[in-house]
Order: sequence, then structure tokens, then C-alpha cells
Amino acid sequence: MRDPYLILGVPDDADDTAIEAAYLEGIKRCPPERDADGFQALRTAYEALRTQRDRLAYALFETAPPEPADLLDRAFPLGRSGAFDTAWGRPEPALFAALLRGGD
Amino acid sequence: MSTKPKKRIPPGGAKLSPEEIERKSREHLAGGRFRDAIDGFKQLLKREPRPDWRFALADAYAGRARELNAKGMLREALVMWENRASLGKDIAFEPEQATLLLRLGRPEPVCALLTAGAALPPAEAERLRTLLAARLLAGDAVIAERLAPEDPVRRHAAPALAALVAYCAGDETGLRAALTALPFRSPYRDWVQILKALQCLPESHREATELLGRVGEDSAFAAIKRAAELALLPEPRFLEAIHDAGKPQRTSKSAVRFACALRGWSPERIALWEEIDRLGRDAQPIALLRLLHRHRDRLGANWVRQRNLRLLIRDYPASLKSLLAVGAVKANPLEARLVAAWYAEQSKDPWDVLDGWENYARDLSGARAPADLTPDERLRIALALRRADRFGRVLDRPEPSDDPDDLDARVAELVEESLRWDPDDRDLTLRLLHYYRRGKRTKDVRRLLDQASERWPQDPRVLSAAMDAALDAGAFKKAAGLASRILAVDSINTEVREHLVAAHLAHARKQLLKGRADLARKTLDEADTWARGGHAREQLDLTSGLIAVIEHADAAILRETVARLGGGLATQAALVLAGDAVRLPPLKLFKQVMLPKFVHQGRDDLLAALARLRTHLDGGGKLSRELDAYFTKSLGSAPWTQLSRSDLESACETLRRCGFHKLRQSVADIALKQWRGAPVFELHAFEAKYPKGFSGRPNRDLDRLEDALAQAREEGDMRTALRIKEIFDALNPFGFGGPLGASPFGFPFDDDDDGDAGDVSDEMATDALVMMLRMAGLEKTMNILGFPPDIKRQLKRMARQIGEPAVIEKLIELFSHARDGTLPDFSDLSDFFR
Repeated sequence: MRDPYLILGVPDDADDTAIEAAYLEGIKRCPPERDADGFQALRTAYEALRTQRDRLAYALFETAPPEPADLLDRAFPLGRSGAFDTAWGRPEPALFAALLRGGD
Repeated sequence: MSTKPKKRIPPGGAKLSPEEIERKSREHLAGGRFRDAIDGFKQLLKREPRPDWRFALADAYAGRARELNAKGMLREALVMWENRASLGKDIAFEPEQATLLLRLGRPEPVCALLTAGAALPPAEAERLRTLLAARLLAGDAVIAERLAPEDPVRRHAAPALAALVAYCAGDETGLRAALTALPFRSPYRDWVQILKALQCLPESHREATELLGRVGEDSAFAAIKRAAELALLPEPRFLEAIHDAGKPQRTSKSAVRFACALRGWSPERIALWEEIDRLGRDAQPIALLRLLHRHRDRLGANWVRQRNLRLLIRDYPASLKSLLAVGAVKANPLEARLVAAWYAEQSKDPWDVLDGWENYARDLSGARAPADLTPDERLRIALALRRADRFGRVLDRPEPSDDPDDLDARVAELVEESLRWDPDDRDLTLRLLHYYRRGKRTKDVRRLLDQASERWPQDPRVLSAAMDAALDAGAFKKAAGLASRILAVDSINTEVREHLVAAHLAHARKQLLKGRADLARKTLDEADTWARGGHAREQLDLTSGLIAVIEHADAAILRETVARLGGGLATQAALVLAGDAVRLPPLKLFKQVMLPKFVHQGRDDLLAALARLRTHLDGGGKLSRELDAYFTKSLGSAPWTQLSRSDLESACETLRRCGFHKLRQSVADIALKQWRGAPVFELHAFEAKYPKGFSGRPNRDLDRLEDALAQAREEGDMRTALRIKEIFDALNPFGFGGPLGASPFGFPFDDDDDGDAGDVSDEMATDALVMMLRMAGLEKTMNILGFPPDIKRQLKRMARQIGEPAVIEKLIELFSHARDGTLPDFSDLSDFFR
């Protein structure tokens, strides 16, 4: 299971209000009709953290090891761009050249 | 690198006829054995320069070249292409050869093909131009110089390069202008599609995907297309796709770097990913611990600490030392308790889970009063105490145990304690209440209900629970009053209406049994005002009909109701159950009512009859002994073979609840004919055959049950496995040896006919057990021997009280007594240890 705090983009000490606000903001970005997987992930994260009891239960009983995506998002989070999940980048010309040369 | 054998045609090959060599060589060619095919066709061409052999040799060279190319042996592959080209001008030039030449930095021969005025087919020339265009964009400026000034590769190079520069710089206007300058019929056409697709990102993934789809997989620009498509994957699939980049059959590192850059990954993020990826999919916890510890400043010290603790579960308790090994602070006692509790959950043993979390809760609370703890600490304690229930859904058991030492009773005790730490959990309060109700623990129900009613006086669910409790106690008027209160605030609460009608019905039956048919009818009239659903109405009609039969021997109402319900097994079941509730045995009832014989109406009718039995039981209905015999006969000939496997499983379960053992056994046997050895039906067949529990010597039935246990475990059907294991645990309370030991210790040779041999074996078995206990310790020995959970729990508790060495010594003493036949009399294991 992905770290629900990272999915919702809230700090570890977020309270009920912050969690709900992040969830509502999230579903604007990932409405179920446009991004079913994204919405499901948000929903799961929200349900895991909705109340203080839920958050403590998550802290006590969730034992899955961290996922690579959790480590990446926590250490070097991706920026957000407007209504979109992340700010995309533009590869350098050298990266184009490497692919066009057929190198590894 | 392996060396090429000098001769690939087997000895004596020279003596083969040309036809034979050709046949074999064509087989090699078709089978992808290109080196053998090359040898064969070369031999043939030495004998006679036939064109078909030459073309076949060309195909063999091409196949071998591709093989070498795939292995990364580019120069060797080029030799093969050159050998192929040397076979004659009529051998068509393959673009793959051009690609290879370009990859090896030798564009000249490719350019020459376009400048020498060679009569290349237009499609081939176009293909070569695309390859050169891609190469030119990659930085091989020399290509332009080697082409004619009017060649489109050269003419369109400037806007194509300008487009690249503008895209990378984020210059949208410049990019649009450059792309406009590139005509549709240009070697850079695919390049235009790719840049347009990238321009759509991140706003429109769909449009980008569509544009990228226009670039062919064999395009010279396909590598960029694939890298861009990779970047468009959703996060989990993206990480999966870039895993093990650069390895054979995996995405190239260049493509991964390109895709990551496109997704906005910083170089640091890419570097961290590569570090994670190097650990592999099944990274050892210690490797992950090291990685997390190394990056704790970026990841957050507390977050890393929490994740690190989780990485200790697999190799607990030895893993506790790993924290120090990676430079982290060692686990404090509470953290160690937490890891122990998680580890217990891995074992799936509910007693271990219970012990693990209880220990954690006790340690967390210490000797402090609730007031001295923070709200979060109190909540943590509550959650830990109720974890065993959450984990195994223990309080869901349909038939709670009345032994306070049984798992569910102990779990209920902890759950109730947890409510003292966190009394606001209404769902859990009600859950516990229902558990107490099922166990007929009236005092506990009353106590908990008082607390709940005080905390949530108007809550419909609490009122509903109070109504159920009143019904359990036979206080029908009180139940009706509570139901009215619920309906006053929730008028569409159908469940309460049903309960209310059920309460009136029960009250009416009670009055009827007391000979007060007048009061019974009055009660039914009251119930009639609440009845809404078909089931409630049906029950009222049947009971009214029965009152008429009992009071006036008037069967008209009942006959009319039966006719309206459609006859069949389901109607028969409804009538018989209604009659049973007023102590009218089925045969007497049918005689009085003079109904025609019920005939089953197929699968749906049978399922409906079973559903009525279930509804009756769910509503707390009882079944008299007469019903067992009656249903065994009437349902015995029902169309059971028409039911699906899940229907039959459900049917067996219903019959188990009804206590119709004979019928359940025959249904299980019918199912076993179709699903031979199916564990769940083996379980039903066994339980139904031995309804009072198995006793006696091991037999074929036990063997079959043992096989079923193994199969259930293999299939992952843990519910059935657990139920079968409970049967074996009951047979052999100490859990040693086979499923049925003659002595409490069930030594393997207990059944040996030779008395002396048995003595020797007992001696050996005892010695082995003693040795195991001394060497492996208590916990491991219990695990190896598969002690039943309750025995394990008791022994563990004793170990905490008197120390593990003392428990081991007492156990050894117990074994010796058992071996010598001098086992002292004790009712409970703890008595022996006192």
C-alpha cells in the first residue's frame, strides 16, 4: 500500500480538516470519470486517514515495507503544475541524441 | 566468446547428395540455425551457382546478422550484412544494414546509396533518408555534407534542428514556426509528430498518445516514441517498466532517463531511483534499512524510523540487532513489543496475535492511570487491545464459546477493556453487544446496553440492540415499545419493522401455546399494522391460519395461504416451520389441514426452501426434533445435483445450523461425487457423520479428513483448514504426533501391536522431545510440534510467571509421567504446573 500521507500530499501530523481538504482537492485533480485509478488511490488514502482513530490504527497496524514510489516522493517530490499531477520536464538535447543514436 | 567451429556439416556431409544438403540447410534456416544454414548453402553454391541457393544464403546471412545484432555484436553483424551484399546486386539492400552502419558511425556507404544515382526503389530511398535524418539530428552533421544540396534530408535539417532547440528551451513560438517549415513529405515527418506529441504534455495525454501512435514501430525515431510512451504510463506501471533498465529484454537506460526527465524527475530523484533499483525486487531488509538510514535526512528521521521497524518483522527477533548494524539507534522496549506484535500477526496464530498486542498495550499503559496518559496514548492502547478481534474477526463467531478461557471469550474481554480506554467507538460497542447476545450472556448484554443507552440515548442502532435484547428476554411489549421509538425517528427502517412483527408473532405464538387464541389474534392484528414485507405478511397469514386450525379446526385460511404461496418445497418449509413454532408436528398438521402432497419444483424451489430455513434460524427460531426426521425425508429426494458448488456449500452450512446431520451428510456425499476430495465437503461429511465428535481409533474417515486438511492448506482455503484443524485439536489436545494419540502425548508408536517395541519407541520419543526442548527452547518446540493455540498460550503465560526454564523442566517431568503411565490427575494444564 502506498503511503496515504503522500498520496494526499499532507504532512504526517495533518488533522481531520487538512485530510478532508486534501482529499477534496485531490478529487478535483483526479475525478473518477477521468482517472479511475488515481481516484481509487485517493479514496483508499482518505479512508485510511479520515479520523484520528484511523490514523493511529494506520500507524500501529500497517506493516507493508515502503514502496519505491514512497521513497522517491518523500525524498524528491515532484512539483505540481496547475490542474495536473506533476510539472513535466523537457529532456535535454543530449537525451534525444542518445536515443536517436540507438545507444543504451 | 565461443569460437566458430571450422566445419558445421557433420563428417561425411561431403558425401551427401545436393538434395540432401539442401533439405537439411533449409531446415536449419527455418529453425533459426543460421550458421549451419550458411555452411550448407555455401557448400551447395560451390557445386553450382543456383540463384535460389544464393537467395537462401542471403537469408541465412541476414538471420545471423540479426542474431549478432541482438547480442550487441555490431561489428560481427555488419560483416554478415556485407557478406550478404557481396552475393550479388540482385540481393535487395536491407535498411537494417544501413541502421547498423549508422550506429557504427559509418554514414558514408548509406549516403553513397542516395547520391550515386543508384536505382533504389522509392520506398527504400525514403527509408534510408529517415534513418539519415534521425542520425543527423543526433549530431552527425557530416551527413548533410555528403548528400546532394537538394536532398530533403539536407534541405529540411535546419528547421528540424531548430524545432529540437526550441522544444528543449520551452520556446513554443519558435517550435511552432520550425514545425510549420517542415513539409508533410519530409524524412523528418515522424520527428514532427513526436515533437507535437511532446508539446501536448502534460495537459493532454490522450492527444499525445494519439500523435505518438502515428509513428511506426520501425521508424528511425521509434526509440523516442517508445520513451515518450513510457513516460505516459501511470506511476505504478511506469516504475515497473523502468525496473532493471539496461538489462537484456528491459528498457534501455537512455529511454528511462528520457522518460524520467519528461516526467519532471530531478537528477537527484533519478539517482535515488537507480539506487533503489540496484537493490532488486526482493531486496533484503538489511539492504533497505541501510538505504533508508542513508537518506534519513531527506526522508525524515521519524518516517525512516517507523519504516525501519517494519523491516525488522521478517527476521524478528534476530533482526533487532540490524538497527545497530546500519548505524541506527537500537529499538526501545516499546518498539520491540510493536515489532513482536507485527511478527505475531505473520504467524496467523490468533493467540499469538492476542498476546502480542496485549503485551504492547500493557507496556504502553504501564502502571499509569488513564488520566495520566495523552488521548493518543489511550487510543493506541484501545486499538491494540481490540486488534485480535479486528485481525481474526473473532467476535463474528456465530456460536460464542461459554468457556472463559476460549479465544473468543478472551478477545471479548479485551475488547470490553478497550472500550474503557476509548468509549466512543459505537460500532465496536454494538459488535460486542451482538456477540454477548449470541452467547446468551444476559448480564453482560445488560451492562453494556446500559452504558450504550446512556452514551447514545436516541441512536436507532442502540435502540435496535435494546429491542433485540428485550426479545431475547421474552419481553415482547418492551421490544414493541422500543421498536415504536425507533420508527418514530426512522419510519422507513424495514429491519426494525421486521423485528417488531417478529416480536408480535413470537408473542402471539406464546399466547396460543397458553390456550389464549383470542389474545394471540389480537396481537396478530397489532402486528398487521406494522407488516410491510412479503415475508412478514406470509408469517402473519400462516400464523392466522394455524390459529383457525387450532381453535376451530378450520383449515380454509391455511389452505388458501398455501395455494397463494405456490406449493413446492419452499411453501412446505414455511408451513412446517410455522406449525413447529406452535408445537404442531408436521404429520399432525398435514392431517388436520388435508393438503395435497408437496412436489419439489426444481433448483430454485430447493434454494428457496433452504433460504426459509436460514431466515428462520437467523430470526432466532428453534427447530424441534420432529423436523429433523421430516426434512430428512422430504428434502432427501430434492434435486441436489442441480445445485452449484457454492449453493451446496451454503446448503451444508444451513443443514449444519439446523442440526439435520443425516441430511447434511448425504448432501455432502452428493457433492463429493462431483468434487472428489473437496475439503469443505469432506469436513461437512465428517462432522455430520460424527455429530457428537469423533471417538475411537483412527479410521478411513480420519485419513480422508487429514488429506482434506492438506488440500485446503494447499488451495489457500484457510477457513476450511482452520475448521478441520479444530477437529484434530479436539481429538488430540496436546497436539503431539498424529491426529489421534492413544496417550495424551500421541507418541508415534502408540498403535504398535508389539508392546516392547512401543516401550522402546516411547522412550526414544520422550528423549527426542526432551532434547528438542533443551536445545530449541519452549517457543520453537511448540511451533515444531504444532501445539494447539490454547496450550501454547497457557505455557507461554506460565513461562512469564515462573520463567521458561521452570516450564521446560515441568514439561519434561510431564513427558516422563506420561511415558511411565504415572500421569497425575489434573483437570487443567496450569494445575500441573502449580
